[in-house]
Order: sequence, then structure tokens, then C-alpha cells
Amino acid sequence: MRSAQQVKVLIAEFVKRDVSSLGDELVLRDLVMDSFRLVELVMVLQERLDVIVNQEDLGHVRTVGDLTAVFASR
Amino acid sequence: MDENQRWILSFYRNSEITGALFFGRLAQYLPYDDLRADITRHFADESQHARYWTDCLAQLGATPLRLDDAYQDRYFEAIGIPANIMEILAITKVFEARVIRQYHQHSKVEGLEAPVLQTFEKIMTDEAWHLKWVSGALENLKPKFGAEKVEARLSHYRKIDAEVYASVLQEYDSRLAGIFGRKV
Repeated sequence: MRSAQQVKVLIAEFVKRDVSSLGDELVLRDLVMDSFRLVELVMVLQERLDVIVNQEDLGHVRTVGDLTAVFASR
Repeated sequence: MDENQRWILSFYRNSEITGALFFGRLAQYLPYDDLRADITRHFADESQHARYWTDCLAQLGATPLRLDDAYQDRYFEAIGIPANIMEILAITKVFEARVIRQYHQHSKVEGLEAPVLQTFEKIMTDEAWHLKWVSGALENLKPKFGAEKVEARLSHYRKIDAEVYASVLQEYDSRLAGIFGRKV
């Protein structure tokens, strides 16, 4: 299992922001406004972390913290 | 040209453009090297189909209507945003099968003008290839995602597709009745 911080570093790389600016409460839609980019982020995280997530896993995801928790728990 | 026919040909054109934009993004950014060539061809085909429908409308003396709503938008509204490549391909497979059925049904309507028939003929060859490559790619993903999960996704998306299609038929009932000569 990886740490939430490791996941957040990958998210920061993807959005080209400093990891310290990615608070858990930050709403993903404010970070990645284009829904296709959001799909791309989720796929990149799956590839980099070698895990699979599906639509049901992401149903409740709204913030950076929510997304981090999905990947950190695997 | 009949306004209903102008509308449906514009609707097809709009769906092809939406497909091209979606596959263009996939071709550009998808982190799967082995799929990039087929996805790029798919993107190019969809763009070409939009051109074919535009040319077809021109040959019939019409310009395409500006439409805000594409069939795929209804899909994503009903299905939600796909989370992985298997889900993207499963949605695509179901959608492509729907396109083939719709184009086939429309091409059988009596009295269609030659440009419309010729456009269907050109497009259907590509559509058959789309279904083939997507089906093959999904088969290749079964070891990674699990064959049962892939089939479950397809089944789930087919159910939603039937609902979306039924709602579109209902919404555009009068237009489609005018085109197909009966209630569909």
C-alpha cells in the first residue's frame, strides 16, 4: 500500500503544481476543469501505481483528498 | 431539402465530430502505447465521416445545422465518466454497435437520395472496422480486468444504451416519423 503523500505527488506532477498546494479539501473540478483531463489523471494514476479502479470506486470522489484516499487504500 | 432530413444528417455529423474530438484526445494523451495507432485511425475516421456528412448535405443543397446535443453526451450523462481504459472501450463498443444499427436501419429507408446512400456505404466499412478493433482490444484486456468484469460492464452499458436510445426516439419522435415514414 502506498501513502497518500505518494499519490499526491503524482497528482501534483500531472497538474504541474507544487504538491504543497494540493490540500485535501481542494475540489478536483477546480484543479482539473476539463472532465477528459480528469479521466486522463485517473488513468495515469492507475498506470503509475499499477492498480485498477472503476466507476463505482470514484462515485463519491469530489476532492483531492477523496481521490488520494481511493488510490492510497490499494 | 426536408427539414427533418437536414436535422438527422446534421445530428449524424455532430455525433461524428463529438466522436472525433473524444478519440483525438485519447490519441493524444492515452498512456497506452499499444492502442495509440488504432485510436488515431479511429479519430481520423470519425473526422472524415463528419466531412462526408457535410459534403452530403452540400450535395443536397443544404448546410449543416448547429446542434448542441450529441448522442454521446447522453451516454456520459447516463453512464458517468469512465474510470479506466476497459470502461472506455466497453462504452465505445456498445456505441459503435448502436451506430451501425442506426445507419443500417436508415440506409434501408425507401427513396433515399444517392448522396445519402453513398455516404452510408463509405462510412459503414469504417464502422465495421471500429467494432472489430475495439472488440479485439477488449479481449486483450480481459486477463488484466477479468473476463467476467468486462462482460458485466458491457451488459451494464448495453442496458443504458437501450434506455438512452429509447429516450432519444421519444424526444425526436415527430422528426423521426417524418424520416422513416412511420413511428419508430
